[in-house]
Amino acid sequence: MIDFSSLAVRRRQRWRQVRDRLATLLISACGIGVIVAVLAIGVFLVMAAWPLFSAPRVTAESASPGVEVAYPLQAPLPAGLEAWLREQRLERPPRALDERLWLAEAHRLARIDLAGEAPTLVARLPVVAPERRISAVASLAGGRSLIIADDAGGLRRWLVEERPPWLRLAKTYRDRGTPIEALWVRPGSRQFLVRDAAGLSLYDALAGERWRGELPAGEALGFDGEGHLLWRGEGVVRRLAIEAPHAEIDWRTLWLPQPYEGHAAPQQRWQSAGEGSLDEPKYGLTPLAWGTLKAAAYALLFAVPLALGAAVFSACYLPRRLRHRLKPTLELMEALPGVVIGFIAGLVLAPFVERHLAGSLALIVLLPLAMLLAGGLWAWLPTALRRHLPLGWAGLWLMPWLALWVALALWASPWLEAAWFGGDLRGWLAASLGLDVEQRNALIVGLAMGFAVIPSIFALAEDALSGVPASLGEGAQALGATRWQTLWKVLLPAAGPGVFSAVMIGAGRAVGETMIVLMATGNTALMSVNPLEGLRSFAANLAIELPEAVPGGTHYRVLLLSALLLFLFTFVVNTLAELVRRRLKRRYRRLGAGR
Amino acid sequence: MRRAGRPRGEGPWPWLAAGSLALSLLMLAALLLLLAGRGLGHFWPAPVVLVTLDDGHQLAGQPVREERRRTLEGHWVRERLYRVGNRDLDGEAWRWVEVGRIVAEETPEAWAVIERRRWGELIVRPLALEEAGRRLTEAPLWSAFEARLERGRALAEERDALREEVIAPLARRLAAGHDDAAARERLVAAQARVAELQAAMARDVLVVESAAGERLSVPLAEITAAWRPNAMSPAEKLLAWGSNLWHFLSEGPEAANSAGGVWPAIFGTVLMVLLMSLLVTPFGVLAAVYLHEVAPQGRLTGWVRIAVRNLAGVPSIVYGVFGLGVFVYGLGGRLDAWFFAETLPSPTFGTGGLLWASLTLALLTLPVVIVATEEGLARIPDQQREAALALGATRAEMLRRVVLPMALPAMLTGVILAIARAAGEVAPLMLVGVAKLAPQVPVDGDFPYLHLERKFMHLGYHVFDVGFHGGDVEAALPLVYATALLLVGVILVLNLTAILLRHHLRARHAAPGTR
Amino acid sequence: MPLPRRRLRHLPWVALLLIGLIGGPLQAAPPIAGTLHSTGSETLASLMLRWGEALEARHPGVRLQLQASGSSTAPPALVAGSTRLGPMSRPMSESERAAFEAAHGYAPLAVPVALDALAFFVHRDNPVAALSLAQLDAIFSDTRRCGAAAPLERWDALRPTLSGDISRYGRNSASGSHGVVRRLALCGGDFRLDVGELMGSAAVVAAVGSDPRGIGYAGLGYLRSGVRALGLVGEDGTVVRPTAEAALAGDYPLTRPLYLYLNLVPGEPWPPLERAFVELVLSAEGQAIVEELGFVALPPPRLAAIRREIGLAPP
Repeated sequence: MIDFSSLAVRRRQRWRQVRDRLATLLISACGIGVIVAVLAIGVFLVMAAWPLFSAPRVTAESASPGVEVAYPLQAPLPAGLEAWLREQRLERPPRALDERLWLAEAHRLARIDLAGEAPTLVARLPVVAPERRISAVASLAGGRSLIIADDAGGLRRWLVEERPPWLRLAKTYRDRGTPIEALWVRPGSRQFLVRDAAGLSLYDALAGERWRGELPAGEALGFDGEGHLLWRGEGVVRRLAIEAPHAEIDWRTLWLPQPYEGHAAPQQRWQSAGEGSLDEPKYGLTPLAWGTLKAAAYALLFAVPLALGAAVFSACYLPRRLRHRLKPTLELMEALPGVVIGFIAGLVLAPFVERHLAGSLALIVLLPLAMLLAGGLWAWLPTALRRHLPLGWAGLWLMPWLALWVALALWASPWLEAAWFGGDLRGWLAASLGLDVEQRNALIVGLAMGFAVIPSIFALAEDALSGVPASLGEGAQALGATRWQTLWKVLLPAAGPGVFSAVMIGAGRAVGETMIVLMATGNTALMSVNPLEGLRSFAANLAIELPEAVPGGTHYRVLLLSALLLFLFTFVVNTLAELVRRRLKRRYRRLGAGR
Repeated sequence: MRRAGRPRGEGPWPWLAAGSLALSLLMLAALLLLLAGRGLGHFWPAPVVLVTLDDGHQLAGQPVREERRRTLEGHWVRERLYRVGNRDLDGEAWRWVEVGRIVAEETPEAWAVIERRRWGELIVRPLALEEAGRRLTEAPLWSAFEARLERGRALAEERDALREEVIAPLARRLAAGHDDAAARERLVAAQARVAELQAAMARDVLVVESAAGERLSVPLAEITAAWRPNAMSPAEKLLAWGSNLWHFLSEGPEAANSAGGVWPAIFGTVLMVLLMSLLVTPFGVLAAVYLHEVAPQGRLTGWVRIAVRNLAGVPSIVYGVFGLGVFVYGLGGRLDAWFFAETLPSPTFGTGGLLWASLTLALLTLPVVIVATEEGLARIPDQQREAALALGATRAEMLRRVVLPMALPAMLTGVILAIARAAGEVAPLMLVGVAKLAPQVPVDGDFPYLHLERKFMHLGYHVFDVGFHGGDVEAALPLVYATALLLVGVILVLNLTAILLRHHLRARHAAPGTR
Repeated sequence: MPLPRRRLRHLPWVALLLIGLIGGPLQAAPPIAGTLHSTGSETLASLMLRWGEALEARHPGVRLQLQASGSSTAPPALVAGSTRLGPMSRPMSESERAAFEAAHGYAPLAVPVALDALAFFVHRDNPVAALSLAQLDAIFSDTRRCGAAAPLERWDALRPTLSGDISRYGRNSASGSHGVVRRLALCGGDFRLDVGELMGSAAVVAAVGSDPRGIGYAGLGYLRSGVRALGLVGEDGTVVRPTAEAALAGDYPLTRPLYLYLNLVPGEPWPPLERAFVELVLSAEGQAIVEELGFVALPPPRLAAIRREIGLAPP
């Protein structure tokens, strides 16, 4: 009996242990799984953006039987044109044909317009040095760029213009080298193959040389329907498969000014192609990065003083009871959805500020003055009245006072404008400071997004300040320091890193906020510091363009790359802030915070 | 703390600090007041003002707002916007009027606001009622009109009920290939009844006159609501306000989302958030328990903890991108290839939908839950664990019986904060499954009742959509305010709950042994 | 400001007639039920919504699910098959059509459903009445392919009594309006970088209506009292105002047909849902909705021709 029951106990014991193992296993599996899933975001983004930077490849493979040339190497001339050329005794020089005909004559290029009834020679343009000869010409899709090669190995891209000088040099891929024999443009793309005596190269119009290899024996026939080159050598037709889906992307085309078609100078542009394949897609990330940082900077410029001021006041002056009420209230402010703030900012605030521009700008100076004035007036108040308006409660009773000043400034806005700016502040800004004014501008975004990040900066900074061991502050005050001196000389140096990390967290939020920027700006990808002009941020750009991007395409992958950049930026910033915060916590513990 | 003595020598800085706090609070208050005022004010029946201009023209409308600005030619103007309705008569439902040109304003009782199914509102003076082309002489006109409108409404209700409850299910059944004669017969009978009702509804016509003197005949079947704001007492207005508010909350959108209610959006938001919390709670809690109780507390765990915490700061749009790339295109495409191959190329799960939206938001809020739960776990004194283990409990038992119950409030706080964050997020949803209009809510009577693959409407996206995409922003603006107010209200209530819960939790841990 | 009078005083009677008619043909019709997915143009969104409502009234078992973020979203969705119905405010480009054919093996069916005149809007204060296409190009483009020598930066350059710089508003690049303006008004050039890219036509009109220096483009149907539509000065100096009549007559150059693209296997009978929808769109009731929303309805002869072409019975 006893043995039996102890057996049962033992069995139960073992069962409990098994269950314990199982439970631990389950928890570990789930926990690790969840954490891995969460961390997978970074991995996914890296993997999705990776193919953008894989080097293009050209590989020779046996062509499937029956494959035909879909695009010849050089477009045939229309019959009438052929006759005209014979008449002019201009038969077989290197040429390119689009809406016009380009003919090489030694070092000059003749531009022949075909729009009229008869072809007309518009101009002969010297495009290479006089001692060289043009060896090949090709026109890119859309007919707005020419690629010109010469017998000294020079290779250049020229942009076609509608008025003299007719051609403008955009890019020199190389100046000298082995003489170039032929240029073949891949159909439906902005890539071209260059054959010289030493080998074969693949170029992208923007990114330059992307691949170089040996020249196979034999001769090129033309491109097949998928844009691969067909090649006949030693009696068999082979296919040179060109794998360069994202050839236009390298770090230079993403970040540096590029000579885009139609523009006189190299440009930083983000203009995805949208409709039609003839346009040159412009994937310059710099304006977007600029916009992201500009929005964040203006938001912080607005939020940091307010949030830190509020945190300081809350930590040092507020009565305890009020503080316990006030903190949750400001936390509620953090919960306000971006879409609501963005809607108010874009549809209500932006037009309102534009109508009251003078008053709104005046408020930047006026409100701090009003606060100081309140302080001055308060010191003159009779003691009885002052007892009813204690300094500790100033955060509350200043509200109507400030509201009064806001109303006053807005009401006086037209008079301000009339008195100081000749009645037209916008014109005055443009004329004397060179500032353009857009209705939906960085100032509005700064205001709205600043409003959204105030609570998170406030909460963290307040925690850091009020976490400073009480003994430090009390010691300072006992030595006769005022509360402000205590704060400035004791608390802030102790809590400095915490305040810094609060600002960092705020910056992280501001960089990634989507809806506010999307709704409160005009999403113009400009690069200016002017607070009264618009901007376009990474996050808003993703929301606008990702739904239309074809998965796997260049546009899609560049967008994912920008998501990766956002991810990395916020991740690094937050990690820094977190590390600082941890160190601070340890320091407080050492200093003997008894909380 | 010192009481309010004269703080000599503190200088101007405290005042700037106090001012910052005041300004922050002021902005918050202004935002909430603006939302509440505009959002709730929209449902109040505004008076109709008959305005006479200096050139003798008259217009009747509801004043909306005033604007004072400088024109391109450099002089100042003050204009007032009137909602004048009558879009089919004047081509425009809004009029800006220069305030200086107004000679007289009056609020005559006879003027009515009439809402129609097409062409928006009428702001007119009713003249007479006609029945099948014959003028009626019932008096007073307005009460006769209301009675007939009520009759029409009853007919319309019967028709809609027939359509929704009889014809639609039957049609779906028959279209799905279940062909039986009885159903077909019932369908035909119901359709005949509907035709009868339609004919009966088309009987009455109201003749009205606009401020410009144009006459118009409005069939009562076209009228959805009518009221005479100038003749209403405050009590009647309050009643109308309540009923308008109720319609807003309980009905679907109309007129291309620029009118009507937001019920499907409320439903979609709540359902999505519910699904998300079902997903996030167990996984978040398990991950936190693993991190805090099971994993070896080495340097690696520390780094993982920091990483998880930081993911809470990663922009939500990045999660949306992840959801689109992995869930929608990756997982969804795979699921379709395996289980829904017969409907390809139309994707079932390979496009944005409820499931992917909830999953994405669950991922987004996972760090919040993990961090909050871990904080709760860290608050539990180690003695509790040691005591349980010393009494012979295994680790699983210790966790289940001692640790988790004590950490329950912390978990709840985490989940509520997660819900509050998820309810307000719009950016990721734009990528993974929100729809402009999805009148078919994802729950219905068709098997399997909950349709995870469907798209859904969302309050936050509705704000964005109506405010920026709608046909007439001016008309939609009040609705946007009301929707935004609703969204903010929901989120504030959730947050308040979390804050109170946390308060309660802290209070309990401050006084140990009360449990 | 005088606004064009609608010539639809008889509408109530049409509506009455229609309400009476709805019951009639329904008795004979086979029951139709299911969900119709549509992805595409934002311009057509309000039309699609209203057509969807009307369709639901006709066939109570039918639902329409709509996603509308721009015409460029329709072809990918049609190619992927996530929708059979792709409303677009511009014709498909060659590459989009090729992608569709590569995926399905046949061409998509394009049904013109309405006309839309794109108009350039200015604030109601703005006295400028008409601009030429070259001037618009000089305002909106920085490549200026239509031939203007210098960009137009300020209103003074157009009319000396005005002052102030020009604020430009436009649509995001996914939208058909963006593409049409680029093709027709900018001669295929690039937009300036400071042309605002707003997410909806209504947002463009709202922005122009609140900005006295603003100019922006959107469909004529978005004309509101806060803004005025500009006429276009032709090469011979005549001014064409954006009106329904000018659009129908083909005088107004910025007119575009709005399309429904359908994924239908040629030769097979139409699926009943799509058939019912197109049937409704091309009926008098569907075109009345077009007119109500401010677009230009197709005239009856053209409707009949379209119906014949795509194999629908005449109404």
